[in-house]
Amino acid sequence: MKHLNEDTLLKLALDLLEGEEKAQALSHLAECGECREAFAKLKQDTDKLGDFEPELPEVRYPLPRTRSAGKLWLLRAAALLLIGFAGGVGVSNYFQGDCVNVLPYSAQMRNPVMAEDGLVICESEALEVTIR
Amino acid sequence: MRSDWMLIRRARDGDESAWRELISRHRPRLMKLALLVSGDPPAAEDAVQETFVRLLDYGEEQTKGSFAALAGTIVYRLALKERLRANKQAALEGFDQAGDTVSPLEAVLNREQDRQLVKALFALDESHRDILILRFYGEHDYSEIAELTGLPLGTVKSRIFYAVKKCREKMKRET
Ligand SMILES: [Zn+2]
Repeated sequence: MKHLNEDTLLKLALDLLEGEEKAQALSHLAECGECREAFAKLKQDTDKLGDFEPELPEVRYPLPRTRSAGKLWLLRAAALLLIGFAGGVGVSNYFQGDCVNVLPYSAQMRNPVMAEDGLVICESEALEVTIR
Repeated sequence: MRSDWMLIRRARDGDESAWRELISRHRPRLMKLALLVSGDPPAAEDAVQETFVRLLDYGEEQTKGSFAALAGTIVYRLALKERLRANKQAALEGFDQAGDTVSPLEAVLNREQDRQLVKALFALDESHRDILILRFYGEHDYSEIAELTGLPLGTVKSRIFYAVKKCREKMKRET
């Protein structure tokens, strides 16, 4: 009985074998402990390639207001913008990093602007300002 | 569990909790993909944030694959764009990016295992590295990778084989 070589085991691990070749490799693996062991080791190595754990800072992405979004966002946006325009008086229920968009299209809603007090507002045009 | 598509629909309607859930579900994997493709943490963060915004424009009905694969496709394209831009800039300034310079990724690596992985990956040329990254972090199958990269399926398969083989050898040598 000929053992499976490393390349074949690697192809099997990466699901690159097909048809007859795959069937043969699998049936050999089923009856050969030595190859099963080699395969398990190789699997460990390939799993490491998918085990990247970088440090990710906590980031909160703004929810852009989209066309179908309710009026709530508009109200909040208007309130926030007023605060922003009034010179950054930090009286609001917004958290640092929160972003409120007031544009009608999501595609135009990037470019948040950091206000002085740490609040983030977004570039605005086409504002329908309604105040509570 | 609420489906990703349902979360996108809710987010589109202004539901912020759905938006946050979607982000916490997918951001870690997308960040890994973007970091490895762009090689640059701020560029990766931008690409991922932009990906979520773009996802708001999609619905289940106009998408062939899974939500995860769609997100992977968008973030890959954006991160690739960043990399091409950075490469061009580096060429203009006369830097050699392929050299053994300290990678900006160092800043986000805490484990020795990750440093080795990054080193092995970045020793590959980009055409092989990308295929490996997409295979392990993109939630794409081989035919989707072929479509995304514009390569024949056979080429994708031979590149993934070669890339994994090289990486594994390099990581083994270093341990
Ligand atoms: Zn055997």
